[in-house]
Amino acid sequence: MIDSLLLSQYLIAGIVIGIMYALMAIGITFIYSIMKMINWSMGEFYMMGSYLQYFLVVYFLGANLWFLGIPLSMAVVFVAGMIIQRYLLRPMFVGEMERKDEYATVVTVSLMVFFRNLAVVLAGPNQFAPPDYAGPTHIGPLPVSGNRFVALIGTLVILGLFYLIVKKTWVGKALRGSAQNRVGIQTAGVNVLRVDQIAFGIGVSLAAAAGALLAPIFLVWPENGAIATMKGFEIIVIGGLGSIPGSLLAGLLLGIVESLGSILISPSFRDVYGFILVLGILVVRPTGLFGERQRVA
Amino acid sequence: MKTRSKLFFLCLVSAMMFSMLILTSGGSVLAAETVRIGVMTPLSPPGATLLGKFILQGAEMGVEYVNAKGGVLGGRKIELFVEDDSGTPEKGIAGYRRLVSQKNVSAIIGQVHSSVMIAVGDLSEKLGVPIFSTQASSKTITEKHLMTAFRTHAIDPDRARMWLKFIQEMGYKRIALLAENTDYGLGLVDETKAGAKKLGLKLELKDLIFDKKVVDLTPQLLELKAWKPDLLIDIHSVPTTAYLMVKQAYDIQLFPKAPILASFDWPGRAEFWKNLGDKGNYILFISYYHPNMKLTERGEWFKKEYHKKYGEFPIYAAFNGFGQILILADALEMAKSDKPADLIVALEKGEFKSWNGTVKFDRGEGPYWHQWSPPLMVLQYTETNQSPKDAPILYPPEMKTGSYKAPN
Amino acid sequence: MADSGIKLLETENLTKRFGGLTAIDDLSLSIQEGEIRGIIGPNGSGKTTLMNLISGLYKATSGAIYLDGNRIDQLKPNVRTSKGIIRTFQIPKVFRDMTVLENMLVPALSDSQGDRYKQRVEIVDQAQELLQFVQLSHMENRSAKTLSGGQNQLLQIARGFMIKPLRIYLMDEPFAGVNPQIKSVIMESIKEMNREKGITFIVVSHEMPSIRRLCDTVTVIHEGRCIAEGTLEKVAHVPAVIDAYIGG
Repeated sequence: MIDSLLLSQYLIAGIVIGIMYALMAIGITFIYSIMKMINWSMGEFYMMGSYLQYFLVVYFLGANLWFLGIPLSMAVVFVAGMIIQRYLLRPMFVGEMERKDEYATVVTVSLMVFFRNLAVVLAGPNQFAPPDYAGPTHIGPLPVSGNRFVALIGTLVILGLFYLIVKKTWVGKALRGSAQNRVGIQTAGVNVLRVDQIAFGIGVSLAAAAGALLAPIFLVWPENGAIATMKGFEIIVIGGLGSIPGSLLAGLLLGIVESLGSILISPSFRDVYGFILVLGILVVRPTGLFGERQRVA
Repeated sequence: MKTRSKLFFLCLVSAMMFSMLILTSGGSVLAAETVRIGVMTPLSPPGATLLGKFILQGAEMGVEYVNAKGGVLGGRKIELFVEDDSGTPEKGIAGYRRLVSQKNVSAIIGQVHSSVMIAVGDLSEKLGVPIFSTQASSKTITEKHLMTAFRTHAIDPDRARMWLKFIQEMGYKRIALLAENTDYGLGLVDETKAGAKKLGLKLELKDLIFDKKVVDLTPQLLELKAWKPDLLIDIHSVPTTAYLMVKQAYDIQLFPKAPILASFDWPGRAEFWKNLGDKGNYILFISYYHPNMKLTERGEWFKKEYHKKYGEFPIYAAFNGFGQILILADALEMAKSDKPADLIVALEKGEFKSWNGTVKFDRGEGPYWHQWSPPLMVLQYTETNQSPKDAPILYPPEMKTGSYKAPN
Repeated sequence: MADSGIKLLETENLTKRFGGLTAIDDLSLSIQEGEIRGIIGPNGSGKTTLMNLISGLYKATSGAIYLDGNRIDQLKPNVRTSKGIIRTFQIPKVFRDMTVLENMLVPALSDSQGDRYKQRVEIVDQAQELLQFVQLSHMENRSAKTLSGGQNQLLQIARGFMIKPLRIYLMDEPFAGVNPQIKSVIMESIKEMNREKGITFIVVSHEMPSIRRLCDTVTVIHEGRCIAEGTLEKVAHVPAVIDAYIGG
């Protein structure tokens, strides 16, 4: 029925989109692993990244220097994230606050609404698209747009840098230490609130990277983060909250399942395949593929 | 506070007394008076206020046109009474009641929102004054076969009929339908299948239904590419995700080798070129107006006079507001009466010159009851950044200004 | 074991309430520089709460804590650590997904530790030296989650020695569930660090033999109050202590 060429095209398309999904999920899970809170406004940082990229490329850098826009957008969102963490989220970690989860949910959901409306006020409800990053090309048998190819490579580069920072640097050690044992890191003399701030900045800048890389593919408009967020959370359920390798693998898995499912079964329920995968995982492994059960102390 | 409410009460009482006077005085007293026509249209949010404004401008010029030629029913002038329905059914109901019972209008035009029109349609059947859809497209409105509801705007099945005829003319055989899973998308897929059978077209139809929210249609487009369609008909109801589809189809080298036909005129928006650039060139789309299309004499008059008055050319909504006033004027003449019941008889019997053709309101089947569909057309962009007014009309033959241009 | 007579750490009318429960009740305590103080008491008497208050994980309901005569009870835990108050936990707080050596390097992240980029070699040398000291050198590159509970306790203790300055080291049940060999390593490290570097220790434990070998002075806590203080032999004869242990 379906020839192998077509099948390999679907697989590649799924992998390409899956890696991009993963970037979003890694940002969410990274923040969770350190601050133990879910950032519901992640999609809006994606949106911010896409707008920044658009304005940088169109008004300052020009079409040929688009690649400079990505680190710049990430940097701006990194700083914005640090400021937001400092003034809106840090209060919940100071003192012995009860109902931290509710607090974090209320704050980040409010941020989501606020940023969407801010985007409408500042730039209008219209869509924008930055110029293409690169001309069309092929990945194996699949003709892909240069934009997708760039986004794929860009994502891999950013994930590689992220890995190096977390594994090889002193900051990375502090981040890992905070994720693994919040009390331990404090009693070792590390200011965990500052680690939180850096973690939040890094997490949202990953979302911004996704937004900037995907801007010419999925365009720029006030609600473009909503889908990215939904996929991000699906991946986290599949891969396990707090697990970075889990997010990467689950992102790929979701991309492939969606791509194949929409062809082999029926395309009208594309989003449903993701949810079926999510439900299946919840039944078999409630903590996700890589999630660990709550550790004792 | 007290005096103000007293004043309000006084106004209310006098308004009631005044309207009673009109109602009881009967037609004879008003015989030498004006013929009254209502315009009920959205003039404030959440309604589509821009459309409402243009419809009203068109209707006002329609009145000018008729009155300048001596009015109707032996020299009586037409007078407009305006109601704002804000695009909400409750305000529409209240507005309709006011126009009928207080202003004593003979007919009402200007409806834009289907939800309002459906609600008001049911009421109009009881009160008997005809109401016109000027730009409300739901086929339910005319499917109910109400005596009082009329329309001169395109409905969804018209689109399917249009592209089937276009397909026939072009000799396309393999047709892919990429449709969203909503009433709009699924409805058009059904209409296309049924229409093809009815017209006796031997087509290979392949439909792919997708979820409205999906932003990446690459897998579906890959499948279509492997299927090698002669034409891909895209049925999105919102432009946001439709732009993405075009991009993705271009990226996998499906489009423009295989032409894409958009089910409505979203490629006509300025955003289109901004978002797609070169990738959007060669797209085909359905439209019911083209700035260079051939108009009737009345239509040409309106276009010229409107431009004189407002400094810009009228858009479709204004044309339709204008046209409906002219249709009513002709029908009044035919009926020799301004009584709504007589007017309806005339509307069903007569043929009327509007801006874009000769209008008839047959008791047709299904949604084609009291339904006159304006001529639709298929346009194509043949250059990047082309303005819709420079896009050639490929179909129908009587409007044709260019032929399908394939990419090099 | 040089009791210098200088007060290093003091608590003054320290009180901690959790809702209706008073865990620490008006407790005043004074630790001399160079001392190894034992803190004993029945289960639930408030020993661990006291550790949490001193190290800053809990905020006191009322009262004050002084280090060298300066109030520290408003400071965040990591700031107290950089002032030289180090602690361990009964269940070792190690970084499970890091290697043993990496665990030892975490304190270098503290703000008080100078330029960690320039001194990386020295820091690693020191960590390896300390691992040798607690006999964990052979496991340097193993992931902490593969270690036994006792080995993790050793790792936790050794990690604390990485912090400078180290003024006072609080150990919460370091001997609980640890085999005799590791127990003696811990004991020797405490004694040696106290003797050689003059580090002050507070050791919370149930293990009377170990406390007897380590501490000159013990404080007995019961229901959040200090009920006796002195040598272990002396406090063992105080009637209130006997009552508390027998279930008064």
